[in-house]
Amino acid sequence: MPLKLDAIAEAIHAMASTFDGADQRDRLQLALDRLRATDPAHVRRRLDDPQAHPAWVVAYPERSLAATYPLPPLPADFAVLGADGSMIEPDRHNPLRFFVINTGYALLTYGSQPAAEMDAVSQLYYQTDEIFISPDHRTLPIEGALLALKMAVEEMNVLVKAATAITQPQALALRDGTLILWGLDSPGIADDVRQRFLQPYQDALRTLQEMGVPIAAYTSYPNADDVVNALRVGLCRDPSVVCRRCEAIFQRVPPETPICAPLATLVDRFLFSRHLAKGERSECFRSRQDVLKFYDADQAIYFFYLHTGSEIARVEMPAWVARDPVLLDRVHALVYDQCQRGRGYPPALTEAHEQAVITVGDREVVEELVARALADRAVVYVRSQKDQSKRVRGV
Amino acid sequence: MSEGANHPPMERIGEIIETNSLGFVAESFVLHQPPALGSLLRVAVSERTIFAVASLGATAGIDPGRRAVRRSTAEIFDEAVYRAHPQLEHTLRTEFQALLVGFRDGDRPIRQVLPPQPPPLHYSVCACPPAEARLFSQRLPYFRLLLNASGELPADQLLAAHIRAIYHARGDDLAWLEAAAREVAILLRDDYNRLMSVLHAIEP
Repeated sequence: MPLKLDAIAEAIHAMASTFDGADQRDRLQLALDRLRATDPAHVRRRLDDPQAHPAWVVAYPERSLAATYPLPPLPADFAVLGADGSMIEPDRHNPLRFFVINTGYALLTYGSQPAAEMDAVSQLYYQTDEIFISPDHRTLPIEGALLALKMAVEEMNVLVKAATAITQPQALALRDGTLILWGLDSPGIADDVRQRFLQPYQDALRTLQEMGVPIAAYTSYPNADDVVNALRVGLCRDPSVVCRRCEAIFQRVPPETPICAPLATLVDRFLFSRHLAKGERSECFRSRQDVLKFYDADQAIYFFYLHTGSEIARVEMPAWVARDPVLLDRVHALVYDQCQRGRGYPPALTEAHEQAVITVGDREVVEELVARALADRAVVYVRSQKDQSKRVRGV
Repeated sequence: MSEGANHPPMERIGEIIETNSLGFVAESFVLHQPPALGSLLRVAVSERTIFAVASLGATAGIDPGRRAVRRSTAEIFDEAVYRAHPQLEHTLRTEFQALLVGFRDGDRPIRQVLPPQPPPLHYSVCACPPAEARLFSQRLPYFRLLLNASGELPADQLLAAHIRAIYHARGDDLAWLEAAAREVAILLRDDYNRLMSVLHAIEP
């Protein structure tokens, strides 16, 4: 009732009319031409320039830009381990501060001895030093971006623990989304706080490395534009790719646009849906995402795009996987195979997610248990008045 | 032939996940292997043994929100689908329903009436060993319970399946089969069509 659908519907009409398919096609063709013609050494030189300051995240083409790699053969026996997390966030309307992280995993073994092991690790965090960072001093609550970091660390820990059960020499650990901890440069996050998350995260990556289990993160329908941005760097005429300087050319009369502008708003997914055939992967690029400056060099994050048959997916992995042709081939072959088995999406991730999901019913049970535990100690469970009003919704 | 509470442990085939005074639903321990339709089952509840007849089997996704989807390809089908998707063993489950037909307290005589209490949730369901099935089927008044049941399966088809299962459990006991046919003829004397459909279905 409150959403004024008639107003929205009008705007949807207007929005659809701004979509210019022909313009999009021309710009995509330009991007494809640039992908094939741009010299990766030129892009590397421009990015290595200490003065360079592009305004966007740019893929670093250590090898080529346009190379494509055919699907490697699938091993006869292999295992794929997926992990995914979900949480009950701290509720500021609740008299007790706590959060729950539920990390699901699925270990699927294929080949001559098919098997599946699926479970979840559920943990309630409530101790002061679990729910605050330096409670006595900064009293920084673990919520939002910090909680997302915490969950990422838990997922890695569960992967490491579950990986000990792998009996197949050819295994792959898989996470949903990204290996890049975006939250590491959240405003106000000090270096010791950052290390509190980054260190166990990198320790887990290293443990998988020692176990010989490559790890990759899988993004379906990615919106990243790192490679398009590398092409923009290739086009740039500024002496050292300083995007700020282009602001001046908008002020000219008549106004001009930067030479890279036709590539703006394109995403890598469009580009590689035209460039890759089914089963092929793109070149493996190094991510230059800003937070990766906090990572150790051997755990730097690389990525490639993969034509899964249904869509273009982005697959991320640490440097030790990207630089090992055997492991890289394994990631390529196994992720592609997962997409075939899972009708477009890896079953190891689907099943891990199913294990991780905290349903509305589960949330209510947790809340009820908290209320009862408090009642046992004669604490009356009083929720905030605002929350009461939302729950009752009287007219 | 005493089938008391001291017999060796029997193979558990399922666990009760829904229960009421008329019957129960159990989850089968092995995917795609519910007990044979019409076969006699037992649930031990301390000193009491409750008897039931398997009345329906079904396999579907564990999560009601996740329906099964097509998994086969030109090369991978039937049993190979399960090898290619090992998680199916965990995301699918086989359930079976059973109708209560009697009970026995300790070594007292078997009573072919509904038990005073339904079997508890999460208790084990076992197949009745042939000796116990033979003992239970010595008398046939419980056929009436099966015929009056209103399950998903037509009652006469369930009764016919049960008679076939017991006939085999009794080692193809023709004399028993004739007695069962006579009992059915009495119970269905007013419904020629149903009578014929049962008699046709139990013909050895």
